[in-house]
Amino acid sequence: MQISISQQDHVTIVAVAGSIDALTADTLVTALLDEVAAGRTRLVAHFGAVEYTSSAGLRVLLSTLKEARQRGGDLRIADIRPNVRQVLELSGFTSILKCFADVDSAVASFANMGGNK
Amino acid sequence: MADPFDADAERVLELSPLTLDRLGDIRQFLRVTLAELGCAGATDAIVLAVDEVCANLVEHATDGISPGPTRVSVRRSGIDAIIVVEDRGHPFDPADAPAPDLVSDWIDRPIGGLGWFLVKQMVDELSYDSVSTAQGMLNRLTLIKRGAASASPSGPV
Repeated sequence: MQISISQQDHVTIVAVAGSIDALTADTLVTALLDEVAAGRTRLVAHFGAVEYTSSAGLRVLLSTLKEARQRGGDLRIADIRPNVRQVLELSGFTSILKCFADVDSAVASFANMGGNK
Repeated sequence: MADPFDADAERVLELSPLTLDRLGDIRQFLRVTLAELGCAGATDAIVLAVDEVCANLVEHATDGISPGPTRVSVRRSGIDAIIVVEDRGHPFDPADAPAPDLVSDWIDRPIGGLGWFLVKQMVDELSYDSVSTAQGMLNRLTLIKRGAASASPSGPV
């Protein structure tokens, strides 16, 4: 799994590639929570190159989402492959996690959010 | 070595010990094996189910004991795929896994607890038995994916 982090319009984009499983999830959640801890609470997880996720990836997303929202931000997810989307849907995550077709839409969605609390 | 053209032959991956850094090997073994068996259309579902099972074994079945060997076998029966995971850790019957929370709002949603739920969603049948042997416990989980050999690669898992 590879992670690359960039900024766009005051939003942090965390692009993930490869497989998220019980081995790699720790690395990803550390990277995401480090961003939140540094005050970068508006996050987009770019999942276009995520080939696979197990429930370990769901733990990562929910942990990060909770931390970000409790600090006035949010974690949103973009460009999800069908097999990964199915895992999110089956697990009831699409009702709590905002999903976007592409990164630009996800970044733009933060424009309506107002300032960080 | 199994004859790659014999669709009924059992394919086996032995892991000794099973560790989290072998999960990628297990997924690759399943992808190759299921393609050989003509069950490529069921790969996503079976890979997720077995990955969850094996991750659980590493994280929960060997508390306080040395991780023992784990055996993953795949075979085809008619159009069904049958996957058996055998381990020597602490027994855990998946029937005892608590029901997941799929509906609470984000703030109340528990982190974790979805692994066995996903396993059960991905396969059609699941059975478990555990016996005491001279070498310790032998736990056997059998997963059956019905119609695996007829599933479309782009179809639902």
